[in-house]
Amino acid sequence: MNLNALIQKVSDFVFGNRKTLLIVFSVVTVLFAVSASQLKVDAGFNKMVPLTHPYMKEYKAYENVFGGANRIAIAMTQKGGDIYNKEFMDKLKAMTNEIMVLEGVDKPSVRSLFTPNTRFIEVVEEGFAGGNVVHATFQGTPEDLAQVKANVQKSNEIGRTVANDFSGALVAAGLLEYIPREGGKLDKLNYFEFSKKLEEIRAKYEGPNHSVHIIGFAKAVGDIASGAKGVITFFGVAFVITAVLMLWFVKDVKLTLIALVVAMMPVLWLLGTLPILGYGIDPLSILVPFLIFSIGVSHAVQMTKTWEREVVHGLSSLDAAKTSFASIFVPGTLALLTNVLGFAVIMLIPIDIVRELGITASLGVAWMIITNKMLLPILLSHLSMSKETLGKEVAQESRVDALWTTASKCVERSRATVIIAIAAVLLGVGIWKAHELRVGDYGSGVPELRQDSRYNQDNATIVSKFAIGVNTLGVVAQTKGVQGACTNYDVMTVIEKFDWYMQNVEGTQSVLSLPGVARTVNSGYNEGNLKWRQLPRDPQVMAQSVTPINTDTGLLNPDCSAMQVLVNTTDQQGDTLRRLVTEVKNFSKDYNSDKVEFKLATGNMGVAAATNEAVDKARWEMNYAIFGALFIMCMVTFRSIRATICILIPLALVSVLCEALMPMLGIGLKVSTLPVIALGVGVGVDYGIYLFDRIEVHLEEGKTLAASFFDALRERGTAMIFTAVTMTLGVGTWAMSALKFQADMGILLAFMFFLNMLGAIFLLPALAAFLLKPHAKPAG
Amino acid sequence: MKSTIRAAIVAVACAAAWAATSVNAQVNKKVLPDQGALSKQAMTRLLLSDAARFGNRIVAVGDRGYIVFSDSNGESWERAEAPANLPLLTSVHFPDPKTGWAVGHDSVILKSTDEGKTWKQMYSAPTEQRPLMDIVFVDDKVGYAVGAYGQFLETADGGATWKARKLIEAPKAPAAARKGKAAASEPADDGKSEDDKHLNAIIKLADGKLLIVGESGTIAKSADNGKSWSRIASPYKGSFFGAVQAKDGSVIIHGMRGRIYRADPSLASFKQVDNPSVATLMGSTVLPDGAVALTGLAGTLLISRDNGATFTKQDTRTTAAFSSVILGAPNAAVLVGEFGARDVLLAAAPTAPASAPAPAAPPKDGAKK
Repeated sequence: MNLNALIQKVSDFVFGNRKTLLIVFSVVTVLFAVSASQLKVDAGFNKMVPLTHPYMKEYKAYENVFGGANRIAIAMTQKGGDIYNKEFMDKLKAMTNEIMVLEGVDKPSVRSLFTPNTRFIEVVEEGFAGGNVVHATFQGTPEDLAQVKANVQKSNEIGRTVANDFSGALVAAGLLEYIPREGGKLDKLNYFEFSKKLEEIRAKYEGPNHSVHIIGFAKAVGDIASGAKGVITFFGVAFVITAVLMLWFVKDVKLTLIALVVAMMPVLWLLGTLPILGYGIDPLSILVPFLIFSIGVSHAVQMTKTWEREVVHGLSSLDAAKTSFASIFVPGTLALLTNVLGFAVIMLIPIDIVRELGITASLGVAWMIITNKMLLPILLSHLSMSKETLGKEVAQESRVDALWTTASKCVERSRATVIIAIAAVLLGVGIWKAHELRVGDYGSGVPELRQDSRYNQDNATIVSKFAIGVNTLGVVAQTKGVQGACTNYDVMTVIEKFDWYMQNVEGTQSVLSLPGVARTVNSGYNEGNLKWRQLPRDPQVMAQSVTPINTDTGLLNPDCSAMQVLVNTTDQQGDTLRRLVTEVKNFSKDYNSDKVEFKLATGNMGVAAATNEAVDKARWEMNYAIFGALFIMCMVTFRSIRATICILIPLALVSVLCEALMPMLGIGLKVSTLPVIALGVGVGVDYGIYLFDRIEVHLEEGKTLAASFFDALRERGTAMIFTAVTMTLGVGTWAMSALKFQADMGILLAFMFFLNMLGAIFLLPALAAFLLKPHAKPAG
Repeated sequence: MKSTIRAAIVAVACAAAWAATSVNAQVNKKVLPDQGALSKQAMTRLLLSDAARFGNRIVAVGDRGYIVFSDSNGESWERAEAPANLPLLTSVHFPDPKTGWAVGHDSVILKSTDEGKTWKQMYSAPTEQRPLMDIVFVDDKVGYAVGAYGQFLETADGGATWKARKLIEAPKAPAAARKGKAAASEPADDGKSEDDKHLNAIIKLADGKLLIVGESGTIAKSADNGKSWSRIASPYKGSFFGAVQAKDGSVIIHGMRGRIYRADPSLASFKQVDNPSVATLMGSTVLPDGAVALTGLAGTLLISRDNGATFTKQDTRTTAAFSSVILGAPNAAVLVGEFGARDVLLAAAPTAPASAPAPAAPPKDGAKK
């Protein structure tokens, strides 16, 4: 059975069962709509990390031992003056209690001035004296406040629970990822809800004299989720822009409506499918519906344009629908399949959130093949339109012929040479600039949110007032076969050496390790004398220095066989992390022994380092895979390596330019921007496929390359430009998103969508001028 | 495909870079230089326990056997050449500008004969587990190192060999001695005998007497260049960490909970000097203008302009712990402690009594202690 016969069969089936199919589509759509209402926002920690990366395996292995990176810090600051007043203390106490009972908070881990684990110790003539920083009898009297002030000075709390300048105090809490319910059930902590409760606490305690600053993974995720909700506005904006452009373009309300409905349908189907498959929507995949809608519109435009042209040529609605179905089905389906493939390639990235983006996008496009290629012709076949409306529109179309004439001159060798030369220069500049592309994040705070977001401002405030590390790279010193490893002088000494080594690496702010703290404890036992800040050789003395250090510090596990070294980094930029990780590896190469081994990585910067490495690796794999996949698809379609090269080179150039644009805009290569090239190329290839499909036909008719290209542009060009403009504007609206990564993606995708169109119209024919022989048939 | 070519180029470059780094697969000397200039980052994180000054050079010792020196009043520092893998050093002493001595944990004793640029180990006893805390030389040949648990080492050959002995030899008759000792000294609450008390500092006074201060109020003096020692009745049961002689000969000792005591050169009796702060005082020096500086935990710096009769607190804008103080730039002191060394500008001398002379030239030798 050849291709034409297959298309005929599908066509017969579609047009033979128009009514039935319409009903089926309607019912399916309603069912999916019902299912879509079950869609949940789902943004867990595990989804965002490369779980298969070696660092993450260590992370997971030690997660339960040392506690994950899942903590929150809520700082209350006094505007003017210090914290030693009754109003502040009363508020802090109430806030501490409220946080303590918050669902999801691990109660014993809560630390603040008002928790019993906040103590002070002082050296006195007889030995030690100590107690709670805030006495249980605290009433807020001036004497009480003076007592607290004195105790804070003696405690180790300055910079931890009390601000360096005494202008604020902190409540820190560890979170439970799962909340135990009756009957042994575990409920996953809903960060979004949790974040909302934190906002309620903020609203309650913030006042003219006090401000409340909240940071922590859960809060960040909550803020990201609420930022992602803003996407709905952008969807609305994009929808309106598209509708207006569509109306202007097709000059007919009915046609516009049909195209929009058909473009919306795969979005609805997709949203309905996700809950069935057990997926939720997350801040990254929430962008997919846009993309599907835009792609849907673009394909609908191609179909309606062809249909219009046939109606103007005198066919009936039904016959015109059949003809356009026959001519669009192959390139359209092929283009969509290529999209599916392009999006499927994204699944190579071993990070669930990106994988789900790939799955979601592929699925959406797959649905589009059914809705767009089947439903649209059926709807069009029912449409009756006056020839004059359409005639007017076609007449208007001839106005752009001038453009097509110019464009088709690109196949002249002289012009082609100039264009290729320009492209080569752009490629050179692009490659040069693309080398500045950094893996990881620029800036400080949470990279998903904008620098001026409340969260990142809170982050900056807390970091400036407290000496707490918000960016922590953890390294686990795992001992083997050493009994009581943390009283072993040799083991402790090598870890202490590592502590000092890392302190000297650029990008380290501070290091916290068991031997580091034990030294200080040892000095404490020796009257606080700095000259005793040395690890004792005697195991019993060492034990005395280690015993006061609880496992909840995250510095050691209960049997002391694993000790975590926490390296607080100055920032989270990719270069910083890479340097730190390299030095950890350098050190461990020299000092790993049969007794102790240093393992990367824990802490949030451990996750970031793993993610960066995964992204760096996936970057090349994905580029090979996407271009490999497109190469095969184009080869199968056009059976010509020359045609394939004509289509792919413009795409490759635009990809390089996109990578060059990123560093210029301060956008790093990360989980969210990595899929951009695959998405951009996967969608951008449509232009080339649609064009080449027609060029091939016209060349077979014996026309010159210039004439073939001109005709192809007349048939497909306006729709291409329209598509590029609507898609560019559609994703361009993301630039307004509260989420930085959505804004980054929007800008980059808009850039790629538009440039790919230009590439197809100008560079593709220029390449064809050299690669395709005018009278030779590219297809066998 | 161009992207493939680009990828190939980058891949080759990466492979080359990787090969280069894998050859160099060891601790990065750039991160931790064995000697030479030290980064600001290293110097603000390095624990320093003691400092000495002669001429323009400040030499400080500290954590992990680090010996560092500065010829720019603490502006920039270099690491001296010293044996690797040493523990925390606790004290440094320059009897003359050429010759320096440093002591520390594992009972290490180090010597330099080139103004502190290179150091050699002269003695160590790691298994003893008794850190040395201070060292003094009475002349070219004879010197003493004191330390924890009553450790007392002496040399008579310029530090080539060291011999341990008791600070105060027990009387001949053992039984009587025990009884006598129990009567003479208040038994400490941790059950340590008087002989086992940490000896924290040893200094040579202008008249040639030697003075030791230490744990639980220990004060001992020697009038015969260290051959024999006698205890001085202690005014305090807490520990002393340092001692210094003011220009007028007054001896000031300081220690736990901000305690300061002062005696005249005869050391007949120590009287408490008022200090409202309870932060432990670790280090002391006499500045060229005669001011006495004491430093300690919680960022404490006390200055006396009247040879130690009264002290005023000076703001150091930190709560970091300091262990030693030495002259810095004119009108400034260099404080060393848990976060390296830092410069603190000294408040101008009070003008009321015409007592404070203009800052003189830096002292010729280790004016510390």
